[in-house]
Amino acid sequence: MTVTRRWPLVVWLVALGVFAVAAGRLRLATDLSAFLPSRPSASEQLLIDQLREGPASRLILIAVEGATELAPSVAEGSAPVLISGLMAERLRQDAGFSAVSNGAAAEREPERRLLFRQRYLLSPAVTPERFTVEGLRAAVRASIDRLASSAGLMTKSLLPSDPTGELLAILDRMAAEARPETAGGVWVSGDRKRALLLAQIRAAGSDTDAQARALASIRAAFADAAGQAGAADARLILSGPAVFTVEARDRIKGEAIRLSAIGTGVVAFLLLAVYRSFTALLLGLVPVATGALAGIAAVSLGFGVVYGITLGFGATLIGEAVDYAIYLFVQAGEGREGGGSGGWFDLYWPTIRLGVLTSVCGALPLALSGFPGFSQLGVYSIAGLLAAAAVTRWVLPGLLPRGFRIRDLSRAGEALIRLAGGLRPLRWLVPLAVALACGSLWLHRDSLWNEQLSALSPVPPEAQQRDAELRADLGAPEVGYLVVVGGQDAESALQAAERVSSRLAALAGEGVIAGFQSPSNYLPSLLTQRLRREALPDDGVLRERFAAAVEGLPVHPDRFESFFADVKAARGAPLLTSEDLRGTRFALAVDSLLVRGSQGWTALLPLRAPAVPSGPGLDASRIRASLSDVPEAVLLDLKAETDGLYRGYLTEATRLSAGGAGAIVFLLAFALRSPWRVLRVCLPLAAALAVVTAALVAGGHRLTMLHLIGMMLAVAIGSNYCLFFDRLAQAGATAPARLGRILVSLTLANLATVAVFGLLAGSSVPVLSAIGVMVAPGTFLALVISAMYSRPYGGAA
Amino acid sequence: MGLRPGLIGFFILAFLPLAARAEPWGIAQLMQALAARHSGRAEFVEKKYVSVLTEPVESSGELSFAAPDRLEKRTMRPLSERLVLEGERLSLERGSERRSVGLDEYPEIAALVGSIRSTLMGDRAALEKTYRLSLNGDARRWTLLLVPSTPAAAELVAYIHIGGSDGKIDRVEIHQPGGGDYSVMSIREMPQR
Repeated sequence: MTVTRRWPLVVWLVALGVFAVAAGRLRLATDLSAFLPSRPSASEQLLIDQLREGPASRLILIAVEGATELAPSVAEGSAPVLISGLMAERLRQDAGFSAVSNGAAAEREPERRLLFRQRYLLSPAVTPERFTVEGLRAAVRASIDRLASSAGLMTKSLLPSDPTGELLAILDRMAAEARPETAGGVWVSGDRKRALLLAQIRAAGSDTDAQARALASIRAAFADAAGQAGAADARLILSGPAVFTVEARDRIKGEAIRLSAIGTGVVAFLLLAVYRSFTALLLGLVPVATGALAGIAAVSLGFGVVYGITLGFGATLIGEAVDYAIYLFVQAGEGREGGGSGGWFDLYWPTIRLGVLTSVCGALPLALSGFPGFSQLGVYSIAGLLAAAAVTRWVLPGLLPRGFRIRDLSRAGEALIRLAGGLRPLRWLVPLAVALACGSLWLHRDSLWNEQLSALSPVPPEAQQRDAELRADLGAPEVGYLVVVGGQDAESALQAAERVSSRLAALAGEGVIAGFQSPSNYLPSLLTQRLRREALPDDGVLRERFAAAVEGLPVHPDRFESFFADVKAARGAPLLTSEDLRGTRFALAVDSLLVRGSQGWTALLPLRAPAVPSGPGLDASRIRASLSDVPEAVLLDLKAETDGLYRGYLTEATRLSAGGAGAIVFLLAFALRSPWRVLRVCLPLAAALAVVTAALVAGGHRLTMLHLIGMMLAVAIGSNYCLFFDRLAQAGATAPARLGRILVSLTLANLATVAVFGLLAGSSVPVLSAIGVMVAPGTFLALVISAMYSRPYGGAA
Repeated sequence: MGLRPGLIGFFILAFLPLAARAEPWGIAQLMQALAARHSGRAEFVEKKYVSVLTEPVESSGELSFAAPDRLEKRTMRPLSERLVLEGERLSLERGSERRSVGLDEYPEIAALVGSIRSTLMGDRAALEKTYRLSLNGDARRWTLLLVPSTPAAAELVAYIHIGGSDGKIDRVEIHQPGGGDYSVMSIREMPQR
């Protein structure tokens, strides 16, 4: 070995060390934020904060379903009710949960006591006017009238201590909120088939391990409860962000390992079958391994964290990076005794180099994408490909043992030449297929794209559907319309929420909205609480005014000592804090409606649309108009927002893909310096993609931006094949042995690619499968079409 | 439409006393007689005697029942309120406020209005889930006594007296535990429309 040959080896080994160190610092991220935009708008940021860290991310929706379809609806003593009770009891003891609720009356009682104790701070009716003689008289009069109502006999016990009806005022306001139904004393679904529970995990939403443990506890509690209730065939349904995160992590992690392992295995088997040499196999995997390491190192340095999905994507790199070594081994088989691989490099390295550059252009749109998950895939691919190509060019030849040779492939080469010759007369099929494909795409043009953002979500559609059902059953606010107000701290956000609440209450009175929720209903701002406390007169004044107020009313004035005592106590009591709500349903509500964001605090006020059978749900302009004097309030129409978000992503993906395609054409034009040759490279690719896309659409697929990204990868890989055919066409007559070797290498490279991406196509992770279904058939067709249009070589034989 | 149930009611009523006289009078016969009636409308006046108040609170309105399980209580005075109990659902309208919830949501109303409905339906099994029944008097003038048998119901009700003649209810007295508060509802049947 000469000195000049040793240098690349040294550089390579040093680089490997650097990559290993960089990759060693890798932090694996498993949450779903890979699929959330990295440059969000304010409202997107809100959703992301919620999904990542917010209390909503800690919420688990639990449903327990009876044994069979025929099971009677849930009622007292039925299995789901028993299981619900047993599970709630056990999970409440579990330190992993900060709150567990199943709607049982037992938990409502302490909540009622809390409301009763704090009624003078919570009731919206407490004002100085309420405690004048006239105000008191009107309030007591109204309370007596309430006694006449159906619930009168029950409310009468409140009269001596709460003659002004503050508790009822609070309960009335809460009753206007959507709540789950109850049966047999616990929450049930609207169709009464399931018992429902809510659990909040104590750990943060980003702690996936804690979430996995919590889910395991719930499953264990369910299994025990079902055993105890003697309902072995009852079903447990779980949903919520924690469930999605854990499932996605497990699935992505599982698939990342599985697909990479199977992909490597398949490619190794394929290479071994062709090379019949372990040395060649191991050497062939050197560029791949270096590329993978370089890719991980680049992502680790560039992003700090690596998403599980990026590693899963490592499989795709095998499919591509292994090609370079295949070209080297198979094509350079000739003349080894002579100039070694040097001669081959002189001839074909420019072609491979151009192929690497077009691949980089193809991966560039990914790297520039607004989704961190995708830009990681792009960076990973670019770094990996450059490293693999460089290793093949400068390191691998130095590693080849003297006299290195793979099996003689000339027979396979001859067969492929015959095959190509046989395909050539069929080339009229290509324009026909392309025309059909374009026609079919034109016919389907309205249903070409999946317009829903959820199509991008790593959460499977059935799981999204299930989540929506449970959410509706639990009366969790339907995320349709929200008013959002911010503040520097929780107090100012609550004050803003109160200003909005008063406008919304007026709108509810007019029937513009059916109702709304506000964190300030459960936790009024300190300012409001202080005003309410100051509205309470001192004991002597109150007694005097009350006596005057009830004169002429049919009450015994001497029965109200507990009222005077409670007001006196309320005047001296501390204000209500979120700490006082802990463990109640109100704490869950405040937690999810009052959110600490990256900039200050945000209060969310979900609106309920009035039940209008037809027409638009909400009169947004009227709501905006009435909120116009609360400048910081924003009405969010989440449907419109998410639609806009999706359109934005799609536009971005289209723009970047177009940019990538443009860059490839520009690169080819620059390198090949001939419009005809550029066309010769690009047309087979375009034809292959048109046919694959039309087949997918005709097969019922709807395209998402993931398919666009798949197209770019297909272009990145397929362009290499086209370039080789272009090189052959340029070279004029080629010796059949050399031609055969080139065809063998291209076929082998494509088989490796098809094997790896075919595996991806079967993945249950939408990102991977969308890319797989595009790349595997796309590259194969690109190869076949290029071969069909290559020049006949029979004459040169 | 309106004629048929009325006619059926007429025939049942016409033959009922005969049937009742033929057998000894008991809870089973009362339930049968009650269940035989499929619909009816009545005016009610309800007086609540509450110890905090110096005089009873009076409310009045209309009750209507339609088989199998729909009971509507429409209060006109002093505050208008409409309460409909149908199946396991309870709808409540008070002023502009309108709510429809599962019966479980309001255990008090379920215990009180629900027991009236079960009686009107002649649903002995439903009554016996929460109450022990005993019957006094004869078919012409009977009193059904409901005493809670579950602790939950005992917290809400001391006992309920339901009085009537044949298959008709004309008086419901609900006595509350402790304090001796009670309410009396007098029911006067209105002719079928």
